Amino acid sequence: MLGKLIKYDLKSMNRYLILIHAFLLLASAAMRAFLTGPVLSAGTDWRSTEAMLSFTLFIILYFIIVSAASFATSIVIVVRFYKNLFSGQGYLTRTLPVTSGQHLLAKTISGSIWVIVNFLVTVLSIVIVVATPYVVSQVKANNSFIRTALGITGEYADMSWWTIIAILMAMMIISAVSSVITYFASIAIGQLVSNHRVLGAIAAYFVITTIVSIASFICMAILGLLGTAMDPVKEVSGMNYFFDISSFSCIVSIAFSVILYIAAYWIMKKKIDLE
Amino acid sequence: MNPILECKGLSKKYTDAFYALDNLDLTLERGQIVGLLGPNGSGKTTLIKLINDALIPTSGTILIDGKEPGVETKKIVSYLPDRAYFDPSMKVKDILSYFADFYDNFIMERAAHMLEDLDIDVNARFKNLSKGTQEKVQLILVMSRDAALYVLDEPIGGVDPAARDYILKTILTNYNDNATVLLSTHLIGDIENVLDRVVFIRQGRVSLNATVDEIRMQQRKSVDALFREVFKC
Repeated sequence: MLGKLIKYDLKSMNRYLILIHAFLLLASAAMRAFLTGPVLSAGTDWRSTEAMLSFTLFIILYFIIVSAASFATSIVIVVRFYKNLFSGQGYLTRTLPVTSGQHLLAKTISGSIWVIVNFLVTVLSIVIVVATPYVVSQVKANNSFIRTALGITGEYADMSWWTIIAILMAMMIISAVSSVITYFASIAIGQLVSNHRVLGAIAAYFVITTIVSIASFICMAILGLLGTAMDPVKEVSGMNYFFDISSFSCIVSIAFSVILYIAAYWIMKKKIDLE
Repeated sequence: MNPILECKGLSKKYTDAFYALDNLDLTLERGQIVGLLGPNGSGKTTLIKLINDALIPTSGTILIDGKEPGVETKKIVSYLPDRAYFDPSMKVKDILSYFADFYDNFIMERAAHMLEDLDIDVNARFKNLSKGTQEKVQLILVMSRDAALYVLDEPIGGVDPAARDYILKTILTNYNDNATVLLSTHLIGDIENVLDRVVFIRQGRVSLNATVDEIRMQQRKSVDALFREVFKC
């Protein structure tokens, strides 16, 4: 049953999101062909106004397209959840011989899949746009300098790029699932406000994200993870700090996600009045 | 066999002043076509939603086949809401696969046959069908499940008389003898000849529960006439 629910969720979301991401990749290819390919090459005079102008232009345009794709992904996921479970379609979905727990889990999985796909396609598109032969050769030549600048030194000096990527991927997945759960919990809470369900959901979203931010900030201050608390005398490498912050934020994400998921589940199970 | 539906002291309140259902008691046996009749706002749709686990009772109990509304009852209850409820961008054949996927008791051949009878193109998108055709599609899908209880909320409201006849014929020919059909409508004259039993519901309570024969013999009037009398404004 769970697999079937996920299948239909993906079918419905794919209609829009495949198109949007195909467009993103197409735009990246166009960027590469007409803008960054010629500009990010060995012969470019970076001090010329032409180079500066195209560079600025490409950053702005590209940022808009990438943001739009990411935003569209969130919107499609949220609309699917809301429409399929809480609007007229709810009459079909909620009379299926399926528990509300299965509905929530299926949508969390299908939503997370698309957030992750969106992230991967974004990374791919950045690589397409930026990784011209010239840039790649420069990165390879200056590999150790880059690693030092990023703080991959000391005990982490031998960490391969692949390990770093794997860790970033794991963090990204946690963040993807966490953001989807936050959206769904907001919608579920919004359902409790009888006549203003959408407004309630939006308000709930802002309240939740604010609470999470404040809680994180307080914990970070206590744990001495705030930037201002960094001891200039003790040699804390950039990577050390990065790992401390990341593991902390992962723990916070997971903790809040569990709480929000349980809240969403309870609301859907106990308070389902369909309009 | 136990009754298919048992409501005891069932209440649903929306605000402190308004009880859509007020201590409703109702038992339905198997193998009948029952008309749930009442004016607008009498609680018909609320009762129907409670049967289908789309609402939570404020108090009282409701049992379908002896079980509380949940996954097991949803397997044996086939529900037709009084509104369009499919994803409008789905094609008719997608909706057929959807039903087949989730309901073990969905009979694909029956549905396909009825759609063919009515010349409905399975490749058409639901949103592109006329309203009457949409209602027919929804009804065909609901009646193509081999359920123990069919709950039809205003199945003939928005369609022309010829379509109504087809829909009523469909209902009659497609349910098995042990199944119960609960039909909510206010077009009583049209369906009276199809019903075995009528339940009048008024202000959230059952005001009459009798077979059509009893009404005609004892009251010496048609159900339609009795309804107009009982619910005179």
